[in-house]
Amino acid sequence: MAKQIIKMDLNRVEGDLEIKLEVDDHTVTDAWCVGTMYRGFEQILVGRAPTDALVITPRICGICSTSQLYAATSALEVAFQTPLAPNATRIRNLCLMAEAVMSDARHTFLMFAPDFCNPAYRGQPLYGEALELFEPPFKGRVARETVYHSKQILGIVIAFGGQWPHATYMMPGGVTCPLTEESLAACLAAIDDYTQWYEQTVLGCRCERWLGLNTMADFFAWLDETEAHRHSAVGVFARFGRALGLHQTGQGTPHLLSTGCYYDPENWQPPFTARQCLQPAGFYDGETDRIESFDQRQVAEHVRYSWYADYGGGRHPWEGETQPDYQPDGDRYTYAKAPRYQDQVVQLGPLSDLVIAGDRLLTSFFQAEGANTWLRQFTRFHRPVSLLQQMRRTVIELQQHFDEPTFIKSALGAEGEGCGLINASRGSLGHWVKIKDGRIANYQVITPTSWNGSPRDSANRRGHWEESFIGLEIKDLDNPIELCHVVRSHDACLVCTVHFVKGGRKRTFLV
Amino acid sequence: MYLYWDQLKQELSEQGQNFRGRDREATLLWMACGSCNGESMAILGAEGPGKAGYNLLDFLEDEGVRLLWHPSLSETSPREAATIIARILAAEEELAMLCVEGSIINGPHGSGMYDTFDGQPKRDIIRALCDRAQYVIAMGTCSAFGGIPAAPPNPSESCGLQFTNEQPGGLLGPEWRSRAGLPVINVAGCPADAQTMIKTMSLVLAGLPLELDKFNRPLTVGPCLSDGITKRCGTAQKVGYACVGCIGAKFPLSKPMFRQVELPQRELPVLLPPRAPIFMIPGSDAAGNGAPCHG
Ligand code: SF4
Repeated sequence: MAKQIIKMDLNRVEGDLEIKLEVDDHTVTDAWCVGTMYRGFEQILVGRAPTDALVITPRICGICSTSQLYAATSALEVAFQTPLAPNATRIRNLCLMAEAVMSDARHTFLMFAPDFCNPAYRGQPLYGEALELFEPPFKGRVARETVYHSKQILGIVIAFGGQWPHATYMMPGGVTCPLTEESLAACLAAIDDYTQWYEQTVLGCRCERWLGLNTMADFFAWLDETEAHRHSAVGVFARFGRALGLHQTGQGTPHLLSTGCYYDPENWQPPFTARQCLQPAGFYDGETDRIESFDQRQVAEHVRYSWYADYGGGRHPWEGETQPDYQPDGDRYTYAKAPRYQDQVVQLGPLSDLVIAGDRLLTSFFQAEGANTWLRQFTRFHRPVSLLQQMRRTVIELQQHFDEPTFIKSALGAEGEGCGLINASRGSLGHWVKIKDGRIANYQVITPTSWNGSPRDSANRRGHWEESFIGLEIKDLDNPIELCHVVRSHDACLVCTVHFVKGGRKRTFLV
Repeated sequence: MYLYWDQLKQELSEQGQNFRGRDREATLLWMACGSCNGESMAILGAEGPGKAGYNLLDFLEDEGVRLLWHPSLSETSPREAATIIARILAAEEELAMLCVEGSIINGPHGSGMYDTFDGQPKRDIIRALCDRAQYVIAMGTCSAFGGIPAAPPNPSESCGLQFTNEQPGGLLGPEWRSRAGLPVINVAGCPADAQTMIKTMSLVLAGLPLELDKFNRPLTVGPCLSDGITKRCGTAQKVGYACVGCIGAKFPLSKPMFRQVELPQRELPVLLPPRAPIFMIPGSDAAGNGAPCHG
């Protein structure tokens, strides 16, 4: 076949990204992730009052705006060493968990699962069942219910923030919103309703039962146990996904990173050095198979292949620069930077967070099969179960500490540097801020997607997504469904347009 | 007078004058530019717990609107979307409503290459589409006025469809009118409220006259969390920080933007009902009287 360029796209992904692939026959041999939009948040923040970050940064993303707000608030707290009300940490954690639970459902049932209904799978034994549950757009039973229930669980964020997305109810020292019996009752009711739906439709069993699954073998035994398990949403996903071999694709880099999340309310206080978290931070070294402690100073961003003024090598975000420099010709290809940890390419996301936090079921799968498309998506089914429990626990704690304040007043300083690290629904998110003379002197945000979807770095090593496409076999280049699964399992926060460059031609067009 | 949703629906159905009635198919195309997807998320609905809100899907169904494309909700891929866009531009497909989310990005150096679709500046595609649409609705402050991305130093050279902040102009120029003879309808808000977006689209489809203020905002637009009668932002009172003015054309030029409003201490705990039962109301009507909802 003559060399030709095939253009091909993905739908149902948020944001702006294009992926260019080099395909040899039907196998992907190289890949480039191209961020196609630049808005310049970091430049907008410079020179503004530090608390402006609380209003501006949530607007980075309408899907994870609670996460952005939490990270921004934490960064200022660390910079100013602000004492903070334990109840505020509880409320923040609760809202962040609600956002994650919402995102897990919307991502799984509105973005990932519809691909099972692709015409390419007509011959699959589970196709009919997949259609019944997931058929897009919003026709499948689970898909429809997801719209309703994910909205309901967001009621928790609304109870405290008044609106979603983009409320600014957190500030250094606490939260601005009051704690009322009503809001707590509303939260519990929302958690109850959601749990009920989750048990009935998604799991096909009680949450307690699910949480008793500790190993891969436990899971498969559970799956075979009853019809209810097999035909639940997770049952159908698990069987269909494995029948397609999704547990053998999309590995990417072997290194995992999680910067930790859900601070222990009583212990998260200045000097903020001991980071005790429900989901502890860590770096899993894929070569030594060990989890090491995480040190934010080991983060560096490269711009060698990005459209920014080059500074040579990697830079820690506090020293970082965001000076766009668009050059259509040459080897730079994206508006995304390339963050690295300890000079390694890492992958982030719910799977990394939970494996590093020591989740038994996921670790068992991870040890047997490594990170892969199926396991990443399976995590999105698994995570809400423990989060819902933790959310209920948090509400009860708030109930027990009802008479304590949600905010501690203290003067904000004029100088300082801080970083706010949390796990957003798609993985670890960090805000790094430097304040001079009461103004923001530097602000750098590293989102989970900037880690995962990063371009090549100064040493010309591919980013995690780029790496995860290599070797993938695509049967029908006009309907590259295999690729869709890999991309979606990463919950790309980007509208992906995928461009094939066949037969060794590279980057010859676009952008 | 402020119309409640049910009343409005009633009036619309009595009028029976919507696009269907007039024999013209109502189509909707949604384009996202320099956006955070906040409106797309909001229009999936987010009410207080336990409330079944009206969302985009219900709207499409009830009003018989055909969604031509939405970047994150449609099944159609961007490549097919490019075909749909081409058909609209070639006048082979009617476009009743064009909804735009996010600022119009003109950088770097006026080229528009900071935001591309299919290798072309998205800005140019939007401009062409606007000329084919019966109605153009800017969903959110970014597409109306530039919003957050247009904040100084405006690194992406962003503007709104017909304004740059409070300056008339923007992408289309102040004189521009849609096929139905209206300027861009600015459903301001950050994000624009879901019910406001839907109400506005319903009014447009019903062919009801839309009264626009000097920033071309329809009367449906109001501050967040307002009670609908006083039209005052309820954020300070309910959440404890001052209104950031997100429906204003100048948003976010104000400096500093964030101001806490300390809320009065809550009443004495003794006045409240005993706490214990709260743990035992699985799904009881506690859900109904829950949180304030947006709008
Ligand atoms: S107006 Fe607000 S919510 Fe809408 S795209 Fe802009 S920043 Fe996002």
